[in-house]
Amino acid sequence: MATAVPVRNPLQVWRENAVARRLFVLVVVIAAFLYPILSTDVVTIYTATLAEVYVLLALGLNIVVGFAGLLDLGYAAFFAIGAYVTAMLASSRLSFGHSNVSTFLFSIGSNGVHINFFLLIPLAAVIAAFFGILFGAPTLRLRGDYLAIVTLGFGEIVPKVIENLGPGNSLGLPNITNGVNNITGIDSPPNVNFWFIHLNFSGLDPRPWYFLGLVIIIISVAIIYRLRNSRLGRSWVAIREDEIAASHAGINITGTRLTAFALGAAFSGFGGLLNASHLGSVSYDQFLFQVSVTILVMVILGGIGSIPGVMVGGAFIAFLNESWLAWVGTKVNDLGTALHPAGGVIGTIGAWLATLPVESAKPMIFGFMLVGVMLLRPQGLIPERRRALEFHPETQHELEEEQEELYTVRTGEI
Amino acid sequence: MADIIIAGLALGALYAIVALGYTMVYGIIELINFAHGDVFTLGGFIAIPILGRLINQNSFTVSTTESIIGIGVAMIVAAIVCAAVGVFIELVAYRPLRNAPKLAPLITAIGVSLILENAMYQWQGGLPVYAPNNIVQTSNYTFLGVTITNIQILVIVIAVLMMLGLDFFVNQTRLGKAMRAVAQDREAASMMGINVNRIISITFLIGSGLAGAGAVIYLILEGSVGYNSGFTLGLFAFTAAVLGGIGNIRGAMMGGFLIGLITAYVQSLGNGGGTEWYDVVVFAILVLILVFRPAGLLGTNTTEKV
Amino acid sequence: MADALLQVEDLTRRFGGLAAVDGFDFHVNQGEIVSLIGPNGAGKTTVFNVISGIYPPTSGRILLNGKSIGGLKPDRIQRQGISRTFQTLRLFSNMTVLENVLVGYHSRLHSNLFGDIIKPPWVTKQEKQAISKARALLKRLSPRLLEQQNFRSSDLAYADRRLLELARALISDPHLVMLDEPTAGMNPSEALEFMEQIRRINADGYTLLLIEHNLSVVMGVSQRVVVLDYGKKIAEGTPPEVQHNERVIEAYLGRRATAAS
Repeated sequence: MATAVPVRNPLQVWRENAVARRLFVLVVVIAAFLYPILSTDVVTIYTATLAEVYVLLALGLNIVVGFAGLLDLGYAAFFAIGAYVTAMLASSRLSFGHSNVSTFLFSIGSNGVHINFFLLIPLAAVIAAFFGILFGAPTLRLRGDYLAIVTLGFGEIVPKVIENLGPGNSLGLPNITNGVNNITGIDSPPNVNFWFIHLNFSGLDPRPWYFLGLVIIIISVAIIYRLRNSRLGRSWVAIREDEIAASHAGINITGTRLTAFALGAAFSGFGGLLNASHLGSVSYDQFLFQVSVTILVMVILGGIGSIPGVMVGGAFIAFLNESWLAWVGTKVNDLGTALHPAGGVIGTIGAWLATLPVESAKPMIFGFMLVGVMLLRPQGLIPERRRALEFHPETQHELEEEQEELYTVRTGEI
Repeated sequence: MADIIIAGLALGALYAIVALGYTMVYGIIELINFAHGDVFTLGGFIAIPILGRLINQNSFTVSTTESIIGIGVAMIVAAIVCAAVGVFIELVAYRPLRNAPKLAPLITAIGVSLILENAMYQWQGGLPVYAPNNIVQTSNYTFLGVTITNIQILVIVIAVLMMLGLDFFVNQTRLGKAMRAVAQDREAASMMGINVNRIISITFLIGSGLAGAGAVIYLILEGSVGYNSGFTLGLFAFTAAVLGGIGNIRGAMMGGFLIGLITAYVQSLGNGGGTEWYDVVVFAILVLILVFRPAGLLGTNTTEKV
Repeated sequence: MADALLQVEDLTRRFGGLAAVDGFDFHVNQGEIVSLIGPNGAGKTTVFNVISGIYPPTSGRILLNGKSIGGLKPDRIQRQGISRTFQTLRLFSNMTVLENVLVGYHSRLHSNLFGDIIKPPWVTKQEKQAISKARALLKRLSPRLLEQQNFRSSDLAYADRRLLELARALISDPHLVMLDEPTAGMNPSEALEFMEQIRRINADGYTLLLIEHNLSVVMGVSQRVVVLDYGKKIAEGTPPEVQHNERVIEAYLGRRATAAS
């Protein structure tokens, strides 16, 4: 082992202790499952369910941007695809004929296409992955900034196409996406009654959704960790670092890039499915460029390339977006109203604060986050294991320990 | 058809002016300045009150002198303000990341764009702000059976003059030569005694200044500007820059006119249907060029030395 | 020679109107150390770049064990058994020493997406073997490298980084290893040490093709030397033969020097 290391910050000490880490994860998972059982705060549970979708999206984008180093500015396109695939295959949108064919797995006919939710999970992922490859293919020979712009282009095209393929569309096609009228009445998963688990998705209770999302996330995280620590994960980092050296080491650049896009898109597909089903409806304007930017902010803020980092980033931005910002806004306004009667400078400040539209400044806040992180702490809140070294040379020791564990064969390693 | 062409050229002139800024900045530091479009928007908002003050809004006719003075002053002021903002952004947000991996300044540029756009939103609200009614006394000219307005002529002429001016500047002056040197090889240029930081600042100054002036033209053509007008326009202008060959000034000009023509044409299709699809078409063009001919029409293929 | 490991026949590579490599013929036999030398701009790195697949040949053939590999992409050529290092040193800076070497083993590891996710026993066994092999290789090259196996590769000393790039090229047991100016930037003692490494690797059975400017390395280590100037071969032979070849001297020093001598 290396010689003693001078200064140890908490993050390093943390990384060194594998047992403590596993225990922590176990505690967090248990707490996550217990939370909605013990809490009666339905609103927060609902927000947490939305946050789960954000986290899935962040995890997916992290594969593309963080692992493989491909800056995707149109990631919301895959979210849209996952959501709209769900919307069309689990609602009355695509109705045809006069009767229905019904089986356990699906029903097709005049009521529309209704595929069993649990069958939709892999289906949405596969279709999204297919589009990942489709959109990734043109970018194969492109570098960083051009790649970003092309993905941005796709990110603009997809919601526009969705918007334009509605009723009475200018191409003379039948109504596919329902355009600006959105698709509503999306199926919920079938109720689950198994052992002690009773989940009723058809009511207003967000808890079943929360649990479903949690399970999907846990499985996703496990898969992503496995990927990262595999031959494929290494090849992603290699192409991120130096594409020419990577190809000369025998790595098929095309395949590796496309796999990154496909897998990244697949997780976005999960997110789209969960979101569409949970909210019961989809609209093209849920998938505009701002959404792609928001997901990017999650990844950058949380820690580009870091799995726990982007999860924290995702959850944080989700709560910020859905409740905290509004809360801060009202508090600031209240403070302003309270200060206002006082005269002079304080009164003027009060007047200004009272009407300050904090919530509408969200893009500006995100903008400052992006600029701030890039200028001050580019590795994000929780740095990726490898990049951590770049900024804290004293973490060598911690990496060694992790290396040992990483390459020692143990199943079920985290 | 002819009026579509004219309209396309006028629109294209606008795209060309904005594209110049993108192409210059990309040429010199290989950064897509996402914030460029939003600096443009700022120019528009600055210009509106100036136009309103200097041109008599109470009469039915607008005298040519008034127009010229109004537009001229508006363009100069907008250009100055935008130039200052552009230089400031480069100094604060891009310069510290000059040597960082490519991802970093790009992400920062997006951040700056978000900040600027929201600042515009907070300042001017979410709805488009209308330019004063009286800016130029419109008159039509018929020429070989084609009708063209003086506004369209004005716009095209201004854009061409700008390009000529920029082209002359870049190719015939010492400062322009220094800019080309920095664009080609930053290290070598600095070893030749060129103050690279200053040159880059000047590039941003000119590019952003042009955007500000271009915003005035936008106002004349479109009649209003909104907090997010610049973003989409910026993307179109960027497409134009790429089409013509990024880093190439004449290319940006050519690309601008081409995209303008294409946009005008698509918009004229299908009884209004075209207005739904023209942006998809432009983005599709962007994707296609970058995939099949990233150097653009006039650009040169630079290959990485291994 | 019919049985050469690497056979390059009438290779030409043009960039626009300029022929960087012009009708170049040479071969490398199994087990040899061959050096490719020539003044700056002679086209040596271009030859490497064409062989390793960065550019396709404009014309001519490249045969590895009789099989044509001209025009293939770099990853396929690596899988055929040619690996290389780079003049400018291309390591994966944000990966550890060990990981860098493991990447070199990429094409010899077999797994697919599902294998990577589910990690059945044969996948983990493969990984374990790869790691042992990588460690053994590092140790063979330099115990110092093994000690630093978990260090970030960009934290290593320059000479060690060159050695690491070599390790990455060797781990896949290639038929041919091409080294592009491996001692560039090294001081004389480091270059000497590297020379030793080259000899040892060759003794272990690797076939090496070198581009080198450091003539003492070239002369000290090569069995054959091929000299390139303006894209054409101007001499070939053993180090002493080439050293005294007038055309070679002329190419390096210019005509006046030979005229004066």
